[in-house]
Amino acid sequence: MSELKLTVTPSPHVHSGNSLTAMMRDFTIALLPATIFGIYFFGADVVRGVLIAVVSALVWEGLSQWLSGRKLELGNLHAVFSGLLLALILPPGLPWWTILVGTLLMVLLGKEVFGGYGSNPFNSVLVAWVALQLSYPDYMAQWILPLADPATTSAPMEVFTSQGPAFVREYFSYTDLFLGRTAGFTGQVSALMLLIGGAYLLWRKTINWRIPVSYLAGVFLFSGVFWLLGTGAYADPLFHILAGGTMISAFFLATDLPSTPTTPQGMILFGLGAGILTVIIRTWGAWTFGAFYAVLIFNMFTPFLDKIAPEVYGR
Amino acid sequence: MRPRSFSGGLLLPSSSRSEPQPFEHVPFPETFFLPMKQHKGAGCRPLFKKDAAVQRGQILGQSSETAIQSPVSGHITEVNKGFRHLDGSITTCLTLAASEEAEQTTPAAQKAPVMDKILGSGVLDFGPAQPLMRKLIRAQERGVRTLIINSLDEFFVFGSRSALLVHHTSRAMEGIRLLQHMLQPETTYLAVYEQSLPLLDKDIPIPDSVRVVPLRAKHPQYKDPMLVSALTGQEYPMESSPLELGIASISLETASTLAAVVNHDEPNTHKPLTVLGPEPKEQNNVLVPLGSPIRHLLQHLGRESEDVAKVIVGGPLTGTALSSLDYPVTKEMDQIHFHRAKDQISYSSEVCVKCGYCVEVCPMRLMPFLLSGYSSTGFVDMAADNDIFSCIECGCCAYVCPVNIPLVQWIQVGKSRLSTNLRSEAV
Ligand code: SF4
Ligand code: SF4
Repeated sequence: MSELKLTVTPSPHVHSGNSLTAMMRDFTIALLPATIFGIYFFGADVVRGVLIAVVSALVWEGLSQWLSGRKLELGNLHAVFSGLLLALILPPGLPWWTILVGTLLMVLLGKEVFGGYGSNPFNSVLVAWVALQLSYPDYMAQWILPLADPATTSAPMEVFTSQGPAFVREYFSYTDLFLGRTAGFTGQVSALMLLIGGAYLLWRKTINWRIPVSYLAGVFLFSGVFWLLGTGAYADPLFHILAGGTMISAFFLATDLPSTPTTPQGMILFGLGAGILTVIIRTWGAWTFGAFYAVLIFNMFTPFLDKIAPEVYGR
Repeated sequence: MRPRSFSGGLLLPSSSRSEPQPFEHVPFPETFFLPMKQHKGAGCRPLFKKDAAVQRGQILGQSSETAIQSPVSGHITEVNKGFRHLDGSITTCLTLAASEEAEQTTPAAQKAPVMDKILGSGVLDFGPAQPLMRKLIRAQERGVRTLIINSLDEFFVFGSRSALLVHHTSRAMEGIRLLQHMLQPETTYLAVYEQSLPLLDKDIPIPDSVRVVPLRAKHPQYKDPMLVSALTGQEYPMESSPLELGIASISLETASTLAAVVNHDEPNTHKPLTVLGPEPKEQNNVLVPLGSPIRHLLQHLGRESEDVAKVIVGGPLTGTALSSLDYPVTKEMDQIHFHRAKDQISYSSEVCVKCGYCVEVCPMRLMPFLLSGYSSTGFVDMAADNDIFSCIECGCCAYVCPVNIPLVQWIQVGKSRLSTNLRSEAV
């Protein structure tokens, strides 16, 4: 036998095959039900919005990595996923240049300035969303209307913050909220479609159950307490769960890897805290979409939450 | 009985077999290589010079804690003083040519105290490999309340240890009785993977004093910290040992070898091994003469091929890669893996995305990405504050990392930097 060349490398010698690309592919697949529902519900214009967002996110990221002399990392599909996710939390019918500004901010301000995906302290999609919300509040509040006739031209959460819980009950049935037959952001209206995507992510073990479950629990329990106490002055917990982007926050925004805690305890506290803050902002705050702001604000607590390390074996 | 377990870790791949394969005997090679050091720690002093004739079972090298016996009768053809052991240290290796007479008789049994027999045949215990003698003496000094017999193989449900359990049960029980006699524990547990539990032969009685406990097939359940916590609910810091809790954990393989050398006066010359690859499904349990070059094993199994690109001794998550097929089978090995070029994985220098997978799987409840991050950026003191020395290098974290960060390597770097710092401070 001729002498074999043996490779010598350190252990471990096997790997699970997990990869960032596979995770981002799963995240993207999980958004498809909501995307398809958006196209069906708001019309073909959604296709335009999604394509502009995804393609521009890829272009900006490629350009930025090329100009800064870094390795091109487009292959990990993070740009595709985050472009799609941003498109789904923008109003349908947003002008094309606004989307381009959004994805540029997302790529540059959201992650590239920090050294790329992994080092970003904030959820890059939410950074872009908030920047657009602050810069173009008018555009961000103009929806094109669904093809089917919804009860109101405003999103349910807008009705809640401007007119109070009584009107919400009058206009929207739970079925409408659950299926998504309301005005709202492109891919955010249907709780059902997002739940399907979330279930897929949990089944694939792409995301850990802790953040979505504790986030939903935080929203439900905190709003539930006030609802029980508050004699009609507060919205019921089911409304808080189904409307206002709670679902997309729970499964897609609060599960962003770099900007959320890594430890079991940290994840639970993050979810509960962001869930409670969501309800606080909606009920007593000036912002309608508390679900998004709450997650972004809680990103700031991640470094502290990560300090709550599990107790080491034998200590 | 519900199988016991621990938090974290990795589920083992399920086996396509329904029971461990019985052992296949590998014949003697013509030439043996016998390193005088076969565990981490001081090696043996060779007792013979070049051209000396030796008998099967004769002691070739001796230290205060262990010995190396001759697997066959023959003569020493070379004394290599520059042999590199698995851990990188240099030791002496005797080359032995088997004599022409095919008859390899065993010398007549001698009456000797049990401890002398254990010392003279150099019985090792495993996880990590160490002289059984040392372990027994320490255990007797401290007193043992609980004896754990470990039949778990690393990463495989049906490896050589479960083959010893299922196909050589009575030998194993003999060994367990000897250990019980020597250590006088109040409780004896026999830890088995749940898949092996139904295979235990009903005709071979397991003594009432032995409690058979099924465990979920997870990595690294076979390691002492996970065994101790799953069986007794107790934990101990890594700078200590289970003996401080009155717990002795001893491998089932050790028990079987003990029965062979003490009750049956057999020389300690064969090694039970699990051999896997190079084709993915190829798995054998073999009894190999100690000192056989791995090439001999490969040839015997008919697996010699151009495809073999990497040879790993030890499990796939913790083992050491060899640089040559001439390395001999030694006592401290339990598995040998042959990997093809396409089975090889590569590590990357990409940034951690803080997914927390590594935290989730770490059986020691550490923060692997932090330890690795601190070690790779030179903040080793921070790594020490985060208990880097509690890492048992099980490899779970690196196995699941989606960006292929070489977490275990960085942790090893951190540990060795810290040890060097400590040593230079001490000077
Ligand atoms: S940090 Fe150490 S103990 Fe924890 S999973 Fe990694 S190798 Fe195992
Ligand atoms: S598994 Fe890898 S990427 Fe994920 S937190 Fe651990 S080191 Fe970072």
